[in-house]
Amino acid sequence: MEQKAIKPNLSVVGKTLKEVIQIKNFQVWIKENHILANIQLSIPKNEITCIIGPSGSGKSTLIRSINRINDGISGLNIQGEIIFNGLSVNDKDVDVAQLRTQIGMVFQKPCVFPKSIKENVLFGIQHLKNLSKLEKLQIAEEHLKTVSLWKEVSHRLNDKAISLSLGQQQRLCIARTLAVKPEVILLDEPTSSLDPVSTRAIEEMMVKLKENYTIIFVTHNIQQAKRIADNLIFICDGKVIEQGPASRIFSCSTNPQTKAYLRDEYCDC
Amino acid sequence: MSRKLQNNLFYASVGIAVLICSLILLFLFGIIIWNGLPAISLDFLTNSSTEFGASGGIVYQISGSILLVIFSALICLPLALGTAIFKSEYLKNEKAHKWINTLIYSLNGVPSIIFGIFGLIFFVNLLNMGISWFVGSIILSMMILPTVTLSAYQSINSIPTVYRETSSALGLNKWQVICHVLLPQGFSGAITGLLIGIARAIGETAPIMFIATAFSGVQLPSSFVEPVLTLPTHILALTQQATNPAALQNAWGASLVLVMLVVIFSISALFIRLRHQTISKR
Repeated sequence: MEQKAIKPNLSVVGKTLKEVIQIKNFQVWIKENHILANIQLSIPKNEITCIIGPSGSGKSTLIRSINRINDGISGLNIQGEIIFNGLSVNDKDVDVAQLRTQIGMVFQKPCVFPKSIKENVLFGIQHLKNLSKLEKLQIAEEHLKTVSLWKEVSHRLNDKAISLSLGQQQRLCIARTLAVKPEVILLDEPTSSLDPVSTRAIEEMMVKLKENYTIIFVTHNIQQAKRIADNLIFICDGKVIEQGPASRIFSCSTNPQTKAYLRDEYCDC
Repeated sequence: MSRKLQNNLFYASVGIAVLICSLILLFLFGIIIWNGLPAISLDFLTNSSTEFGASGGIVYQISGSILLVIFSALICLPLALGTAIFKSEYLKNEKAHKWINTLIYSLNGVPSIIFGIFGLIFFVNLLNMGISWFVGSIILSMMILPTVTLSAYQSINSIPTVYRETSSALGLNKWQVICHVLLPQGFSGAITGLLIGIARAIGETAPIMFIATAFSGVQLPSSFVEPVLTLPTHILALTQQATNPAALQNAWGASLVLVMLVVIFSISALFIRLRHQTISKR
């Protein structure tokens, strides 16, 4: 399908950050529930944007709207626009599968397919191109190295992926997402079911990955956001309470709700 | 104390129910094995029948039955998988779901003789296909369609949503998700249903006796429009000449072979289901 021309924004000079994703007046209802109200956001390129907020605040719904993985939910109703590189993702003529190759996603629980480790890494690209065996192996190696899994699995690439530990599985899932060569990676609480060591490994990986990718990272763990976030978006009850550079919000947020949440992890909005 | 007594009474009564069920099955199997085993020999299994079955073997009855159910499985599987995928992945409307369920259960409830009459009127008389084993396969596939469809639907529908989302998020189209994720994982469920369906179909007499089978004098068919011999119709024919002890003996023997075939299909279904469960539990 023909993609809409993506006009480079020539006004981006010097320190001004290019915005990869802009969200304008975005609203979501699922059946009668108003999940997201009037979201206005912009996501800068090659940075880690953390979305924090209490559970049920609509964080997941928001990032799941960006790659339209929410489409399958019955009773979903949206208004407003999400613009990715000049393309309005909810337009009728958008090729959703193509969009998702550019905006990858890692889910809360690692989900590996009942196949080998290598096949799992290549899962997203096996249908797209005719690659030789060697090329496939090279791609698998490259991405497993990126997620620092290569040393652990290089001698058993043909073992079932299910035999890995949860932390390894989640890193495998990230490698699988990277193999599709997305521009943006959405991560929906990727470490919430993992042990602290794996969590740290993934956090360190994120900081490395932001050189080449734009990362949107949903977490309910404030400490985690503190460790990795360049930008912070605080969502509560379907509304964006505050957004901006993480350093500023963590050190001197002026919003009383944000302050309360960062202090007590509790929000009564 | 009375609560404890109630408890024990309840335990005893459900235990007795299980016992009676098992005894019925054991009794049936026992009688069939007791009477049928003396008839079974290599000759019985490898020779064709003579004197309307009173002597000779049942090799063409076995091959006919297996031919019928294999083709009915081949006809049934794509239809059942298609229906199951449509119902699980495309149909969002709950009313339509209820309607399809009603239709499937109704089809399952149609008495088998009705299928036979339908086959006779539609295929044999109206389409003038004559007595043909292929028509028998079509009719049997209609009969087992509900079982296979529901089984395939359940196994596809029970695949966690996260698999669909994960593969869609990797940029797979809907049909790619279906072909590469759902079908491979849902296939064993469909096969389980298919084997259960086959186990039922192979023992059916009523739907095929007018349209697909002859009672004797037929060997392997060389075209689609020839009759075959089958085990259930052979047993029926032998029982009708029950005054002849040799025929009765062979009827028991054929029954034992039929039951064994059903057991083989059922046990394979059980094994595939067990294997599938261990995969989905992990």
